[in-house]
Amino acid sequence: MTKTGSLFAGKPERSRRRRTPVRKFLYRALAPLIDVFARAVWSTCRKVDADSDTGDRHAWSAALAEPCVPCFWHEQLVPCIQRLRQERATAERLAYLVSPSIDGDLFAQVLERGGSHVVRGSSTRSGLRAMRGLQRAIKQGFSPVITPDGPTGPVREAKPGAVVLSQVAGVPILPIACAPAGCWRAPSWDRLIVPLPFGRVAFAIGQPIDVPRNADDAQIESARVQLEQQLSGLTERCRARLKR
Amino acid sequence: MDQVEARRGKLLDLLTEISGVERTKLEPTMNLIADVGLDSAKALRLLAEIEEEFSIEIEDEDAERMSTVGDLLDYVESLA
Repeated sequence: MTKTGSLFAGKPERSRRRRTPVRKFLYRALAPLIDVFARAVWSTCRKVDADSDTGDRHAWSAALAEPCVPCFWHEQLVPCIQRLRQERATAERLAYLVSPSIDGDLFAQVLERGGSHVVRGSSTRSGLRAMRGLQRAIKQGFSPVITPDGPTGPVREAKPGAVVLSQVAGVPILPIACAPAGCWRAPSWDRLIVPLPFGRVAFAIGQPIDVPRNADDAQIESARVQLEQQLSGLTERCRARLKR
Repeated sequence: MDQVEARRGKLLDLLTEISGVERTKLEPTMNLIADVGLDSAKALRLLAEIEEEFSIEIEDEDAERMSTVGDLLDYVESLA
């Protein structure tokens, strides 16, 4: 039982939906359909590397070979996750934080179908428990994927969570970005990007950011700013690539 | 007894370093979130530093019981 006011104390879940047997069955049936549909649509997209004319598969598998903290802006969640799920070997090394609510069940099942590890937790409702879960995942050899401006924004403003996780776990942050040639934007806080089928999507991987284990507040802030700058710079590089 | 005092001292040093609250102002009754100002990122750093300093692994069930500076002091004392 969590003590009132303890480090682990969190806000209660907002969802009023219950985990009924019917809903569980529905989600189990829907997860493979969503997974197949997303992969089919994704396969029609042409992925290009921002710095070359190819999708550069080797750069991705090499960058993700060792545990790290891959980070991208929340608005780029759909194309970046699809890109990371593209190769099974890479997908199996990744971990995702998914809400423990009933709403998160479906998303968790889709990710698990791709071979990824799922940590159930909420950075806004039980932040420390979620971070400890991700720290444990790194110890097990997974790379936890983080959207540093998520889950509620402000848009393209990195919070320090990814930097502190990188510091305590002793693994680098890996900035990732993308830009689609054509997309639909969801009416959400971040105007989530959903690439259109048969379009081009440019991707870029940045320089790993190392956060010293004994980093003080100023060094953590410096790494946070560096992450923000890299993510914005990489996104611009991807946009420029699509104009060529 | 000396070992217990040393552990308490080291814990208060870590808490001061991470929270920025002067050691002389830390009281056992202070709440770690409301009074000391720990957010989830600082709490993660604190737990990681305690684990490294005392070569232990803190279980989530133990961390769930920590709400005040006194709870933390009791925990590291129990390690002796």
